[in-house]
Amino acid sequence: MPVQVKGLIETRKALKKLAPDLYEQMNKEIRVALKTITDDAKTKVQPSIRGLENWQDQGKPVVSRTKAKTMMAPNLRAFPKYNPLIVKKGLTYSVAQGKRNKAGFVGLYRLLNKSAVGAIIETAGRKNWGGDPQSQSNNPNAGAHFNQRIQGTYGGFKQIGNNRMDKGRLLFKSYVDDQGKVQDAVFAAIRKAEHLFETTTKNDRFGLAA
Amino acid sequence: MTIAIDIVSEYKDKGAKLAESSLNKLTNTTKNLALALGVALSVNKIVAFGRASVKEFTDSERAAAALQNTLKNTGNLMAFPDTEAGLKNLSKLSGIADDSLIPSFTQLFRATGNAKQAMDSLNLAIEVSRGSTNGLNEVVDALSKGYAGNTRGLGNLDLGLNKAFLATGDMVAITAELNKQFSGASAAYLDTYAGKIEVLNNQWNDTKQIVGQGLVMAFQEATGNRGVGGMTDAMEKFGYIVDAILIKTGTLINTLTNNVPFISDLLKRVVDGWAYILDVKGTELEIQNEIWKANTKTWEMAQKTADDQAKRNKEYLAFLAKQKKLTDAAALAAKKKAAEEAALKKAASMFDIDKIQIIAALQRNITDDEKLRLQLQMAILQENGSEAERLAKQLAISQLQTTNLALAISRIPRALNPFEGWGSEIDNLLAKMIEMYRMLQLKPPTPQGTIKAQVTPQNAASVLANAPVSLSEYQSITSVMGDVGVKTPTLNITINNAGNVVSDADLVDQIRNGLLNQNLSGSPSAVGRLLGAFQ
Repeated sequence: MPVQVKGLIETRKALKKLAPDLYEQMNKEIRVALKTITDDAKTKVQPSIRGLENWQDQGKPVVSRTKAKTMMAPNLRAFPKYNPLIVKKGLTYSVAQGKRNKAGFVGLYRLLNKSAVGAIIETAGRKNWGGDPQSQSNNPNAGAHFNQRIQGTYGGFKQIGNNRMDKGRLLFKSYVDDQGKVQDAVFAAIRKAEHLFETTTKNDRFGLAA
Repeated sequence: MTIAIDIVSEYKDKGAKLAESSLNKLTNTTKNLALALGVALSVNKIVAFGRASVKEFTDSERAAAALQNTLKNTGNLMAFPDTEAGLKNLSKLSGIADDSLIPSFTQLFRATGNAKQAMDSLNLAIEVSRGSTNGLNEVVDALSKGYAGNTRGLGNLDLGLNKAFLATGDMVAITAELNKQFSGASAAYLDTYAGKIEVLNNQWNDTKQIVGQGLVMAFQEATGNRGVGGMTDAMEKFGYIVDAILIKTGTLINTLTNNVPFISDLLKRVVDGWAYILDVKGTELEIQNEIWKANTKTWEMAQKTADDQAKRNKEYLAFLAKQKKLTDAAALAAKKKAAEEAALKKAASMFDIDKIQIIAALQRNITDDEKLRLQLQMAILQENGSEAERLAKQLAISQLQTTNLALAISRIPRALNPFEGWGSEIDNLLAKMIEMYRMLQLKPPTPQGTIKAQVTPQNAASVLANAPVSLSEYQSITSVMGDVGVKTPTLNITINNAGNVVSDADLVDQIRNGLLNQNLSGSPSAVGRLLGAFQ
């Protein structure tokens, strides 16, 4: 699970304002570290999924057939087709501050799987492996079939931490396989920047006392 | 939908969490307010408490903002969180409100220019203030002036520092002395009843501050994103509503008590009854409990933050340990490699021709000393320092032993000299012989040039004074020539004058030849006579 720190937001702000070159250098090192994970995840993307050939993107526009647009969902999208290029494109990272979650935490360095189809590959069957138990579909086993086929191509989930929802097949798997090396590299870059900043600031008259 | 994995995240409480907590506080306050509305006095108390709470909160916020601004302007913004936390702790420990401590700290910070020193000085000022009759502000003022070079203020505080000592202006020594004198004064004061009351008061003010913060947040939440304008509107409406309730309640009570006398008594009973039924005292206690709970929560949160920090520190230390382990492993590998290289070098040395020769020489029948030398040479070639040192020492001992033999030989007495008894006369004789030999080697002086002279009958006697034979010859010839009527010519002769005198015979020949040459034109008889042809 992500390591929770205190004061990094302020440190980043201070670095950005007072030592922009140091800030850029730090971000550069962190980007290099994060990219190793996303690159690894991209290598895991398969060209097609066995047993779900009809799901493959043929380049035709896809229209939602399930629900019409409503007031509550004016921009309802159709279920996306499988396109490995889109999946790869969506596997990226961010060094910008994210939005605060319900628990009040803000992600500062994040690995992202941005595309909808990528998110499906990542998480399909995570909550209900056998399909939605409340499903009223004519084919209630469709969900289970879909999950099994994806699992057959991409393999099982890998989990981060204790929460069973923190698991996935692409980004999560790469992150687990990395065994914390990226996290160490990110912290090393932050510590280095902090140390350099502190050294620079100590040369001032007042220093960072108290 | 974006799937995100946060590598690093930070808890940001200045939003949802606080808003949630504030909303809970508002709910509780509103509930309590509703319960207490049955009793007008309680409403008054709650409103007054609310006002006081908001005031405490705004005062604290203002002081904190001023501190932040000061630190920011002096380039020490990074020190703000620690400084604020430090001042809050100091406030809790000393029982002095943090909004009083912050201006004092700011003043000292301006004087010292260093947050740590300012914090230490503030601690000292509190000790001095508690240990003397001076107020904290006076002590802070005097100390900050002292840092600026003016120690008169410290003298005026009557702290027992003599004038000469203060005149030095050495604030390090002065603060050390003050620390020595007043250390522990604050703790002693806080142990007294008055001190405890002060701590409790301070804690109560903090509590009010927390509630005030909750109220402000509640109004913020209630007004959504309409900013300060929306918030003031909501507060105004809230105020009007409360006022209206108070006025209406007051009017109702007034009307009832004035028009129906027994109503007053009845109302009192009703109020007491409602107070009993609604458990007003219990409600007050509940409010206090809620406040204390909020305080506890704050402490717990602080504790959690500290724990998190400790955990992060532990992780960082583990990271460092891992790094060290890797470094050590690398060093060990390098050492192992060096050892292997040394072993290889040693094996390769077996084929060294010099060493082979030495080994061959060692096989021969040689003396111990030579053997030692060869072994030493071998150790040097093999770069075996310890062995070389040992052999060198042994060789030195051996050489020393040989040297002792030479010393013994040198101590044998000298042999007798057979010429030791000779007398000095033999020496003198030898010396004379040597001198004689030297004299014999000397050559006679060589003639130094010749002179040419003209001989006439007038100067002949003087020129030829040293050659009497030549003079008599000259005189006889010239007399004969005079007799025969030949004029005597002037002769040019050469004479050696440096000891190697021309022999007289030579000189006679010269004269005669000269005269003949001058007079060859004379009669043959005369020539014949002159030459002695007729004799």
